[in-house]
Amino acid sequence: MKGYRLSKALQENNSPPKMKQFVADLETMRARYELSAEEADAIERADLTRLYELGANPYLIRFAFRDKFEN
Amino acid sequence: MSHAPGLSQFWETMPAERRAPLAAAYAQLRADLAEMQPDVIVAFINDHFRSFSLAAYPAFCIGLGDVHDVPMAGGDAILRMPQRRFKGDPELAHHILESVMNDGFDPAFSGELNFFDDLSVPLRHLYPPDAALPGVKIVPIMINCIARPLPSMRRCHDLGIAVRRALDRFPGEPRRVVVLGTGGISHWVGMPRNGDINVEFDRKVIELVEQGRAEEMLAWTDDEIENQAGNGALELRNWIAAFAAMGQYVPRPLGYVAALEAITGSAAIALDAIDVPGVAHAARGKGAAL
Repeated sequence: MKGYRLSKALQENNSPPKMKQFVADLETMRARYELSAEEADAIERADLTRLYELGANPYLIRFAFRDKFEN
Repeated sequence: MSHAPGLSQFWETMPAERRAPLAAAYAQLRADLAEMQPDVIVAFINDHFRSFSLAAYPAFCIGLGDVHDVPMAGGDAILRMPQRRFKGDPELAHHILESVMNDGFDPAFSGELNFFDDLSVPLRHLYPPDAALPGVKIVPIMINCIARPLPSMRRCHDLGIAVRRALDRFPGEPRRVVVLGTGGISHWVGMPRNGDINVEFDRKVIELVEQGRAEEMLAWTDDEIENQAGNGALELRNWIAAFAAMGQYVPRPLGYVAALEAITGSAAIALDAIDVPGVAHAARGKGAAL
């Protein structure tokens, strides 16, 4: 299932404050969710297009990075 | 009705002239409801990863709960509306579940769903929170609109028909029923083109409904819908189910706004039931696709 672990990571950290904590503890989180280096990197850089290309469900991208979408 | 979170979050800050068509549409729907005084609203809606996850994602899920907290905890702050505890209708919901299973469907069922904009935004406009909590009961029916592969438009149409059959066969105390379908129309969520609206597509949808040609949408593939109108437009299958549950109806488009603040082409369409002679109605009433 493409992007399953990545989507799981986003759903369990589905708000900007939670993502901030996630990135602050990236190596632990990467191991916990069994993410690839590329997936962890895309999260760290908040590269939303890359996350989408890697198979993260776009609704989960939207919630986890809500601050990037609202102005 | 469109259920975009921005239609609640940014309702007060949208310029009045831009939201006017929707405000008028909502006022008309409230007037319809006040006149009709429904006992129950059967609502075709979709989860947004608040009730379910990719660990196991259901195509259809019927809410059997005796209460529904709208929105879920934490949703009130994000959507800028108070949480309210609406009554469910377990008797009717169980009947619908068993009836559609008898007709060949295998929905999941739930004792407790987590609602976000899908149900909360329409209820906010249909029953504004500054008034007393209405006694109307809710039977939510969730349709997968967000995790592909989705149940097809045709399958959702057939579910709507099965739900209508269930309503007509209901052996309990007759209910005045409103059918609601929420979501859509064009919007892209969390993907490239987030924020775009396809007005032409939206107008086409409304025109088809207006002309009694909604079933032509059954031929649209999910790739076509998503490419033209965004992943958000895949929510149209909630409308399709509602139309099918209404059976025969007179459509009354009430308003459309390319609601930029809500990133969604937002519409409201009322459906007036047509009595079909010779068909017994244990439950009957109006519908709304919004």
